[in-house]
Amino acid sequence: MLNKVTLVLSIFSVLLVTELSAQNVYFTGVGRALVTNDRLSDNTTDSSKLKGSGGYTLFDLGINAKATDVLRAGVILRVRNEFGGFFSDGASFEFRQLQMEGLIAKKVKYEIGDIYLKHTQYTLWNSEPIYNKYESNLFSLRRDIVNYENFFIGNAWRMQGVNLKTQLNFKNGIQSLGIRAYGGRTLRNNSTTIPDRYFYGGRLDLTQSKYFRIAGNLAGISDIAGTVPNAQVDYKNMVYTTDFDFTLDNSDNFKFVLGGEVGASHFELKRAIDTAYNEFNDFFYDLGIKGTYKPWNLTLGGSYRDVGYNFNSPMAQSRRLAAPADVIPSNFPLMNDGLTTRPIGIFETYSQERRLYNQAISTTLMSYYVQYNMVEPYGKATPNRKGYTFIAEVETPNKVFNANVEANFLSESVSEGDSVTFEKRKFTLIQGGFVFNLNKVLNFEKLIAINGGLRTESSKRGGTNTIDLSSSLIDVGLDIEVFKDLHVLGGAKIFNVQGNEVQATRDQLNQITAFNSQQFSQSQTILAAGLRYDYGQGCYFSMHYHDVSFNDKQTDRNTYKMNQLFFVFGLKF
Amino acid sequence: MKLLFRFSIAITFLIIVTVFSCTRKSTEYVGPAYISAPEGFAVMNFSSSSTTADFNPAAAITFDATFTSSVSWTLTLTGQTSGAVRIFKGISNGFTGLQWWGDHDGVYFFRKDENVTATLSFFGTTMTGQTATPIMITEAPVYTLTCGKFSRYGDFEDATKIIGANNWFPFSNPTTPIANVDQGVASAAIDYTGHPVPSVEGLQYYYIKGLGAQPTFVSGMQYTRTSSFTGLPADASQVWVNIYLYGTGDPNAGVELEYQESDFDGAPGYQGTDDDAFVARITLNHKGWKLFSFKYSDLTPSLNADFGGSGNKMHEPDRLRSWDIVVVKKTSPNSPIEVYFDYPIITVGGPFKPCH
Repeated sequence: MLNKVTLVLSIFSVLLVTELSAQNVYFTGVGRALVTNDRLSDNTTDSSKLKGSGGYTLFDLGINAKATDVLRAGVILRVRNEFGGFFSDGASFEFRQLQMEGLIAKKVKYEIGDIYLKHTQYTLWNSEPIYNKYESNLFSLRRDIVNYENFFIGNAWRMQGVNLKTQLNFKNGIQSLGIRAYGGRTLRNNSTTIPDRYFYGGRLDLTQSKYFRIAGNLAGISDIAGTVPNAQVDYKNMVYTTDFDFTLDNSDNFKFVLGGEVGASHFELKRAIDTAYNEFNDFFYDLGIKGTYKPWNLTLGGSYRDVGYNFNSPMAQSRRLAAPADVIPSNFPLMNDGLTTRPIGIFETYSQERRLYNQAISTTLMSYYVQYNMVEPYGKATPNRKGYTFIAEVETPNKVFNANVEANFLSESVSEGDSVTFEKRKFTLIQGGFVFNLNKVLNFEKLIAINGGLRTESSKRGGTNTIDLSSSLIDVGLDIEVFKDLHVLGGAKIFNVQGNEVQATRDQLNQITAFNSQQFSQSQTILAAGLRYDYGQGCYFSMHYHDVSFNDKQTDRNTYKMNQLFFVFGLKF
Repeated sequence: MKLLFRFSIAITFLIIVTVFSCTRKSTEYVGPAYISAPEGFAVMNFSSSSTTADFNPAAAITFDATFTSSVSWTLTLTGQTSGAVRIFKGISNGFTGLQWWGDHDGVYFFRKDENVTATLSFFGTTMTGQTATPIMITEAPVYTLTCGKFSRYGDFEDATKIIGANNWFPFSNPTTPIANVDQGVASAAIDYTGHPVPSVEGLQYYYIKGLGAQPTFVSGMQYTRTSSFTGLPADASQVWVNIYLYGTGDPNAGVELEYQESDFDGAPGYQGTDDDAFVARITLNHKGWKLFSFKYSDLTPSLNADFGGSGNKMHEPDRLRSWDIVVVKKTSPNSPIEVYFDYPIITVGGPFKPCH
């Protein structure tokens, strides 16, 4: 505690001193007051535990001092008070972010401290676990809160470290050369057996002209030998890739892009418990072509990928959704008189802020909810996948309508566990949706938007050990601006999963050690309606009602119904 | 410009060709093989050779089973008192004469006078099978002669044997006993978090708990021999030191295991001022019992000149004479800590594993 106080005072002192000489000190802030009222119905006999309420008020104050272009120092301090925490009894004070950034020699941009990093889909990437591109604005409002609380911005991972980048422009020969390097620590040693573990990476991005670009990428994780006296493991992983694209854009009507990424990984691990030196090498390639018909804003594309079963890229394969064993529902964690753990549903994925999402890089492939991610649980970098991906997207010039669809037809490269017939799973993943701005058709000034989305997944295998699992997730949304800045929101999510699958358990070497059979016969329906009022720049109030129905025919005691009344005031400056 | 463009294309082409020319090690399948139980699958018979088991001296009981088709099966033997588990797995339409020597897979040992249930389960079905009656262990296996070098009475089953006459010496510095320390043999201790400490092997274990009289050091115990441990090779990379330690997740609780040699320096036995001590330092931030195993060559030399830091700094397990367990506070001098330990054993060729 004393250390924290000292740290706070030190930072304030630095900022104060900086302010004296600064040309610019400014503040940013995010505030939120959130209240929920929940009800659950299950097979319980003790009805007193079927209602609950919760919420909090928080304020994140960002203090930024910008002396010159050379340095900007920023800290975000958080004060949070739990709903019902009278006289600050439930209040907490914490650092949310500490960062410095600036320019070295007017050329090299640097960031130090808490930084957000993304690289390529095969090197460093934070993949979305649940398809939500076309969900209702009502759900996305809540998902934005969850993402903010868990430090998710787009596909970046939040890390602690340093990020440097610069770009050199040339007059002749090549257009520009981008150079980037980053690094930091993913794991702190425990003084005895777990060594410090560092990540690092870089990119050289050569743009030859508007026709051609090529980049070389490197991303690695290594244990630092000697940081503990009795290291249980010595881990190293390195991913090398190159991505490139050729663009042909000389016509008024057509544009073509040929591009892709190819690369390889090298993994090695020494363990104190044995004398074996474990080493795995593998590679991937993902190549495709895309064509656009400009008058219609219509793009069609296709690609082929092959990701080896030993391709290891922890920073691209770590899952955003935590492993099931680490997840606990915030509301009603137990049901049926405390005898059953309530299963995580689609509702939690956009509403639960804590104990659901993962913010750390995992060097082993994390276990996952098969029913929600059977095809690409580890994003594009999912190992042991090969096959075709096709995309189509269109947007009318006046933005009345836009739609997108992506179809993946994949299979395993190597059979998992079938030693008799060697059958490989075949996967299908089709996802897409649309947004239709009806007000533009009606020439109505205020927004009337309808959106819909669909994702279907299937995993099938014949042979000795048959697998047949399929799921669908349907999204429907409505947003009507009835008065200026007052929106009526509606939304629905319908999820179904049926069949059987087998999930692999992996060891420290990422090798499969066991399979666990799973059966599903489950449906979930969420119907929600609400209002949103924007009462100033960055300020809003919203209230929703969510009706959740979770049916599990395979395990009847998992079935429940839940509803939630939700209020939120938000502000941002 | 054209030259660079062509060069870029050539580089890209080279990379693509290189990657496409890569080949993976040919394999038909990955992961353990398995076969799901088909519809109509049934167990035709399942039995053990005996309903009692005497594992001392080493002996096995056997299991037989027959199924209607070839399938991935798991036979799980579970000790009803100890919670010990032994798992056998296979793919077949049954098994004959499957031997069990009383050994275990997890951390807990099977015990004398406990019942063991034998349960068959199969991949892809919830159907299970059990033997008609459980198996009663009349004598538990003894690993002290077959699996490694054991500190005499180091199973702590007889508290009266943990005395100086049998080479066990509780620490006594600066006073006897050390102030604010409780140590001895127990079987049903309650840890500081209020949880009962189960036995990992047999019924008893040794414990040291308290604040101690110094900021870091709490207490400890030494096992010393009048001669070196017999039969240990000179090659330190072939020798492993093992001990079971119970933790409560307290990062303040630490243990230092010191392995002391009698260097060839003229003076007999281990002398802290002129011989080597090699150390493993452990923070007990785990919960429950855990087996800690260290390769002797990975142990670090003592840095204390008066306590093992003055030898030849060579790992010489064939000169191992005694060992200490030292209990220390890691982070908070004013918070008492606790350590429970059992079954210290020195093995050759790998960490301790039940054998016969």
